Amino acid sequence: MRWRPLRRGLSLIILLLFFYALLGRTDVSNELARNLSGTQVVPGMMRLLGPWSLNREFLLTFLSLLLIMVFTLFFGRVYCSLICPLGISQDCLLMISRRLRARGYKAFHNTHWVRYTVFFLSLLLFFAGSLILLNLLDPFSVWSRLVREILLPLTVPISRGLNTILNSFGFYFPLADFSFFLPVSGFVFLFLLLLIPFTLLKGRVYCSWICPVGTFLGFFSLGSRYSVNIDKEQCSACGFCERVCKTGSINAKEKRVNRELCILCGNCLQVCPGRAIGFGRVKKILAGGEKGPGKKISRRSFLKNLCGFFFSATVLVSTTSFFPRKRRVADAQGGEIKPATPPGSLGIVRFSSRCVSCHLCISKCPGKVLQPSLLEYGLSGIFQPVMDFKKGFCEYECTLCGEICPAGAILPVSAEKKKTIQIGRVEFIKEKCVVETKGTICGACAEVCPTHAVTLEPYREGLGLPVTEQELCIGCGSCEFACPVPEKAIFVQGLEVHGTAKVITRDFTEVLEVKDKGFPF
Amino acid sequence: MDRREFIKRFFSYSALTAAALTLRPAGKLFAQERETPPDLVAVVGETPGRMFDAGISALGGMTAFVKPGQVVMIKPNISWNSPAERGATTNPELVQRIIEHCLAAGAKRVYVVDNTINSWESCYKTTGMESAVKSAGGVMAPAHSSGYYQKVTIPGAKVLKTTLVHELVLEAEVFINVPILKHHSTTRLTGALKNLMGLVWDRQFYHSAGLSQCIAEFPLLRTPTLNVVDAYTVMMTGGPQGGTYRTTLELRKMQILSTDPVAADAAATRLFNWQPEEIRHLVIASDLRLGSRNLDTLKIKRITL
Repeated sequence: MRWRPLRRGLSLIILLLFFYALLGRTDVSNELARNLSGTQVVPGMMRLLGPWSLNREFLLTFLSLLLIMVFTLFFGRVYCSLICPLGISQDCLLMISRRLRARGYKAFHNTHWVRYTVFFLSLLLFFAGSLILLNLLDPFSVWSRLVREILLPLTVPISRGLNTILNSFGFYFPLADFSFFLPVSGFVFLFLLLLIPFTLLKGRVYCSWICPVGTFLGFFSLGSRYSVNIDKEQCSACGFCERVCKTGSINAKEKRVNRELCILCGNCLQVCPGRAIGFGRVKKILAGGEKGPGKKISRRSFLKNLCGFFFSATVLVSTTSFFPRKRRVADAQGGEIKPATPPGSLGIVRFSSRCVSCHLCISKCPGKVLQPSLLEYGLSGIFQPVMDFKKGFCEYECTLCGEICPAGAILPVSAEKKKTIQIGRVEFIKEKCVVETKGTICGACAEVCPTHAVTLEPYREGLGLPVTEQELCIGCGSCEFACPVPEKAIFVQGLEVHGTAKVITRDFTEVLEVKDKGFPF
Repeated sequence: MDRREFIKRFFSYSALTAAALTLRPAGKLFAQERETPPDLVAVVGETPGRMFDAGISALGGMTAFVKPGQVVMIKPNISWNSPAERGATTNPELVQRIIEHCLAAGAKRVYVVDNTINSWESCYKTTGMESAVKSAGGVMAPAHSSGYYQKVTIPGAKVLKTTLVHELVLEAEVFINVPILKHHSTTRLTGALKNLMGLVWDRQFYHSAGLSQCIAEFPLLRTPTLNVVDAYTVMMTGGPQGGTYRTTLELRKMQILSTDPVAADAAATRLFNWQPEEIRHLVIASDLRLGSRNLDTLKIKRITL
């Protein structure tokens, strides 16, 4: 079996599965999303930070990460061309454009200083408590955001067209209901605008220059047992392999393959006229006096890079911590409204320091309440999901976000547990309520409240005025969503750390049978 | 099947059809001889499906409402992610039976539609409506996107002058309204008239512009062909969502059928021991001459099974 066709077939299947997992709205697609996203390195690392529990999600992540590490130690960065959805997408783009580009990739060489800087900066920022760089650069998050912020909104006109056609045959097609959110969609679009031309001209530039996951796996593959090798005696230094190498890991003149960058795509194996290049066990070439893969770094450039690294680190850390949380002044007292985080995320600080902004929960949330944030968590948590009760509310029985979150930023909780988690508390401003301002009946908030934390009490002329019982409130935001006042007379104040709501239980199935079955009219 | 048998069957079926067709005018003659159908039929004592069988035959059968080849839209209440036993949503068994009657009467297609409050996927599943509709041969028409709605002007309305209404309200020839009867925290009663709120896109407008007025004005656009109020399990308090400590349910095993939504609701108020005059949207609707809230002037047929 030839490797390249096999790799192509497998990766294409994996990419299609990823697409189905994210675009589908069935239980099967949700299950698939859960399992596939569990194989991704950055979210997986986040989950491994804890809490360590023996639930399915954790074990899946643990095993798949272990497998990836071990596999990389033996065979190199196969992950990048087989499992990474962003990588496969770039490969697809390259395959489509192959005919446009007669000459080979003019890959950049000597890119180690860029990727090391990016990698260590991400790491540093992570330890400083901000995931901003990791979130913006993690390939899974980038890809998954791309799907949510560009692709899913684009399915809306398609589904409408299909519906119009099917409608004429008396059938209905469920319309997609996703909208662009300009700041986030715009950012993702700009990212694409940069990524596509670079990829077309230079191959998998992102993967060899920037990707922190690639850099991380590169450390493992440096010492891999098997890799692509050039047989120096057979090689005529024709340079064919170098031209087709997407990551710029081949130096044909020096007849060397950089194992840190090679993603084992197999392109080079197919073009070598002299069968000088092949995949096999790495010979003990290092012992033979030869330097390891990659270039020697001069002291000057090392110092230069070190200075640059620390300078940019300082700038980034200070700017991300400088921006305060966004203040939405909305209550009558002019106080601050804190954002609410989904149930299972335990609180704002923990959530913001774990979430990788892959927007998987935003794609899947049936209540449409999870939306990308801008500065609600400060600049450091930019684009992380936030509960937006103007767009939707948290469904009482739903626990989907915790089940699919690959990073464990939202922990899986049972439906029973979820109904007791208080993510925020209801607050009511009588002066804004239509019952007060217009003197009409409304009660939209009390009607939708699943816990009776909001009820109506008699007010003047047969009206009902909302009253709140904060200890019963779980912060689902049904009331805020339903409130017909644009600036919301009733809203949820997010809790810094989630609490527990008081639950008054009762046997719901209890039905009083009416013995007298007469007609009261 | 061999050829001979095929021909035999073909002719016997043709003969049966011909007989049925020739007998139909005779049926109509009988109908004319019968007394005029009642304004309101109330049935008590059986399962929702069986009560409907009895109720609809008292109104002259489904053929009185559905002509062959017509498109039917059924509007149940499946707004909440809650099983039918909790009394917050219409019994799927009832809707299933209605669909079967419609199809037997020759309906071309039967749609079931509701703009749910909880997520539509969960409501369709939990209420049991989707599977019931499918097994009866109906179609669940989605209503979760503004793409299914059309802007209409409501003639004679003072407040609800324009609204976005589900396209099936405008397209379907027969419109059957199947509410669940329950208490409502704001309007006190949720029945035939209130149920129609699930056909508009912008519910918030109702709440901000005057809930009772908007509820009462919607039928100015289109009154249901038939209203079937499901009062099998009635949520007496803690409505409309229920499912909490404030909820009380009563097993009333009743069903109210009428072509007049106001009359159906007026009768339904009596189950709570209220008077129709206490419910504001009923008063406004009857003042708009959309129906009669005066139960004494109505011809009511009471059936106990």
